This record gives sequence, C-alpha cells and structure tokens, in this order.
Amino acid sequence: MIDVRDAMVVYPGAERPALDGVSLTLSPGESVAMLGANGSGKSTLARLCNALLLPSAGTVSVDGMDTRDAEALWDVRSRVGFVQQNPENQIVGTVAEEDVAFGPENLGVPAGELRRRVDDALEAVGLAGMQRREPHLLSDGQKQRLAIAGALAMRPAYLVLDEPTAMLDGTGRAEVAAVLKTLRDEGVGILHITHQLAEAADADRLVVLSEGRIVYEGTPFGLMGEPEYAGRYGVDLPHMAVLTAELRAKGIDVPAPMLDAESVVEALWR
Amino acid sequence: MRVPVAFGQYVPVDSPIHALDAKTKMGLVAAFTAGVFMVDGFPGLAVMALVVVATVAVSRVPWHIAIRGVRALSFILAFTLLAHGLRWNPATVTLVRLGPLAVDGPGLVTGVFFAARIMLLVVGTSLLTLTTTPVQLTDGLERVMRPLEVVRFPAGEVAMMLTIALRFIPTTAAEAEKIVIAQTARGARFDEGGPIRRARAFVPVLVPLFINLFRRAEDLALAMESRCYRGGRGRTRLNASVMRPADWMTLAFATAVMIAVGVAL
Repeated sequence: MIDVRDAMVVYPGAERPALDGVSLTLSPGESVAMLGANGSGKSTLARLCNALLLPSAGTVSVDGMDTRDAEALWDVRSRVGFVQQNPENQIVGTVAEEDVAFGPENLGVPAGELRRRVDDALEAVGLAGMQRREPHLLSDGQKQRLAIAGALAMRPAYLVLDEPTAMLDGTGRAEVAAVLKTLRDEGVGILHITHQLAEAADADRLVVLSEGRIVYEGTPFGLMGEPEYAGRYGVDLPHMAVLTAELRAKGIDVPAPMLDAESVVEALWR
Repeated sequence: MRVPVAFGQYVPVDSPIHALDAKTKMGLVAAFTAGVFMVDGFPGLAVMALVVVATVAVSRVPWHIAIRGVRALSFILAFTLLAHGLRWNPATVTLVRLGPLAVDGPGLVTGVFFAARIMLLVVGTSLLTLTTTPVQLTDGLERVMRPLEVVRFPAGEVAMMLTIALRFIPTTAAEAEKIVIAQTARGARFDEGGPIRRARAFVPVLVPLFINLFRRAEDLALAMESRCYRGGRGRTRLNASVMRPADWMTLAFATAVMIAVGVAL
C-alpha cells in the first residue's frame, strides 16, 4: 500500500505550502483518480509517491518502506512506476525495446529475464512487434504507452501517472485508458491524475485537490451529482452529468448522474 | 524551410563489414592507422591502398561516398604537396624553375608520399562510421572505455550522454523546424542578407529551442530517476554487443597483416 499521511510540502520561497496535510492511500488493484486545478498540488503529491520528493512534514510509505529511508530508495522506485505528461521527454532509448529495458537494466536484471520483461511489457501496452521502432516515429498515444511499458518492465505494484493524456488526442486517450484498465484488473494500483472527469469515471475512488488540501474524496459519481461544488474547484463535469444534475434540481426525476446522452434520453422517455 | 540534420554517415547496406562488432572495427581502425604510419616507402603504401580498396569493395559502400572525406581535405593535400615540392631559390639542381620558385624532385616525391598517406588514412578510417550505426558506436565506445573507469573516468555515463544526445537529435530537429515556421509566420526572414545577418536571424529560433531543451532535460532527469538510474555501475544491457569468433579472427588476422606490412615495407 502507498500510504501518504499528513504530508506537507513547502517549496523554498513559496508563500503557501504546495501540500498542506494530505493523507491518501492506494492499494494494489485499486484505481484512484485525482483532479484539481493547476497549482493545486497534484504533481507534488505524485512525486511524493516514488520519492522524487520528500515531505517536509508527515510521512509517505510504500509497502511499509519510508520514502525518506535512503536504503529503500531503489526498492520504492521500482515498486512505484511513474509516468509524466509529456510523452516525448521521458523516453530515453533510441529504439522502443531499449527504452523499455532502461529501468530493469538499472536494476541489474540479467539478460534472459530482461528480454522477457521487455517483451511482456510491450505486449501489455499493445506495442508487441514494435521492438525496433524509433521513438520519434511513434504516435503520441504510442509514445505514452511506451512510457507506461518502461515503468511496467520494473514490475511495479503501483503506477502513478501525472496527466498522461493531457497532450494526446482522442484516440491516444482511449488507448491509454484501455491499458490502465487492464493493468488495474491485473492487480496494479493506479493513481491517475487528470483534468478530465470523464476519464475518472471508471476509478474506484476520486480525490479532488485544491490549494494543497483534499476537498473531495469519494466515488466519481458522487461528485458528478454536485456540479456547483465541482465547479468551485476547477473540475469540469461532462455535459450529461451537468444536465442530469440540473434536471433533478428542477424536480424532474432522472437517475443521477449519467454520462452518455442515450441513457439520459431513455430515462426521460420512461 | 527545412532545418537540415547531419545525422551520421551510416550507409545502410548489408555487408560482412557491417556485420562486424563495433569494437572489432575500432580495433581494425587502430591497427590500420598504426600500419599506415609504420610503412616508409611506396611499396608499403601500395599494399595499404590495396587493403583499402578491397575493404571498401567488401563493405559495399558506394565509392563516391567512401572518398567523400578526401574531397573535404583537398586543401590540406594540396598544401602538403606544395610545402614539400616547392623551393625558394634553391642552390641545387631542380626539375622546373620559374624565376626564384623551383619544383624540387625529391621534395615532390616526399609530398606525394605524405599526401597519399593522408588519403589512405581518411578513406580507411571513415569506413568505421560509414558501416556502423551511431548507437552501435556508442555501445562499442562504452566497452572500449571501460578500463578507464579504474582511473575514475565515467565511461558508462559518457556513453549514456551520447546515447541520449542521439535519441534527441530527431526530436530537437523537428522542434527547430516548428519554431522556424512559427517565427516565419510572424514575419521573420531567414533567407535575406549576408551570412552575418542570416546567422543573426536564427537567434529568435535558438532562444526558444534552448529553453525547451532545458525543460526537456528536467523532465528526462525525473524520468531517469524514476526508473532507478544511478550511474553506469551495476547496469545490465538488453542488447550487449558481443564479439563473436569471426570478430576475433578478423581482428587477429588484420593486426598481423598490418604489423607484417609495417615492419617489412
């Protein structure tokens, strides 16, 4: 379990803390979506999870290992895969397989096992057969899936993704979402930071951050029933969620909240 | 306007030379260089020339590409010839005389010898980069430099830097192109005026390009740390380059030939 407890992060020279007493847990096989406006502390929280950043106060532990423990650093990082927003900037290798191999190479995984891990990871993200492809010849969606494969090759128990779809088009988004869903079902714990509530709809839990504090924690659907509340924290609801909420406010009985136009139409007809 | 990328000189054809390990080829270049410097007469050079011609033929690198390096050196070659061949007011008898300027027979021969030696060196050594991809070269270099780690030379880190540089060349070129287009859309002209003015026109391209590069470097550092990069020590390799028996045999044979020719001729 990733266990963030009362974490506080103050960047040097900043007026207010980037994170102000945040507590959050993530278990294997669980998917947590995190939303919040820019500057709400989402990326800071993500970086706490794999010891890229240490809390100024409070603790962060991964499967019982404190991230401040220098001895456990590499164990923590190999257990928590990290994927960033820009697909281009996190690819190290000159061809796909070399990039996927980078993590396990650093861990000193021997050659035979290394090859198996690389091929498995590429397969898991749907890039089987692209071993020798050069990164700049991949689409953005493929690049981001390659980055996920690079994290998977370390066989992590958790995956922290900091707005992995922000720079992707619709196709790319769908590709990444499908991969994340499969991984969750296979038992990887997923912390998915996003701006799109629609992407968070499948998550087991939704967390909204604002000014370094958690302002909502619950089911994604719970938030969708509260458009005004969501709006206050810079979360844009899908159109249909806003519509159903307004219909209900006007006393029209529709089951809330719904995401696709078809089920709304059906409910109204009934 | 396209930004040209000089991306290596690798000639992608299949040949026995291409198939050799990069480390083997580096060894061959070293042996060849030593051989060329050891021979001290035209018979020796002739043998070396034969070796070069045969190797180029086997490598299937087109001739006009193989001798490209010589053309770039034509000024140095001409200078070598003239420096050795021309005499000012010589006391001895010479071949041709033009006022105080004279062409000196033995001097000219020496000039031809040195010029031929430079040509052979250039053509022979350029075969390394013509038949080896930059990535293979970097890997080979890491292995060849590894003994230097004893004196704390960071061989693994240097190789990693080179690999990352190679990886980001196409990305950076694409970005430069994007910025050039963006600046052109705002009225910047890159095709006007003399060389200085043109160079200055590229400042508005270079500044955003470098800012973006720094940003990239930060992201990349995070990505590398996240994936447990901690320097070259303890790293294993997915595609470790290995020297096969054919590599060792080629290297041994070529080194023996070079020493024999160098000593005998």
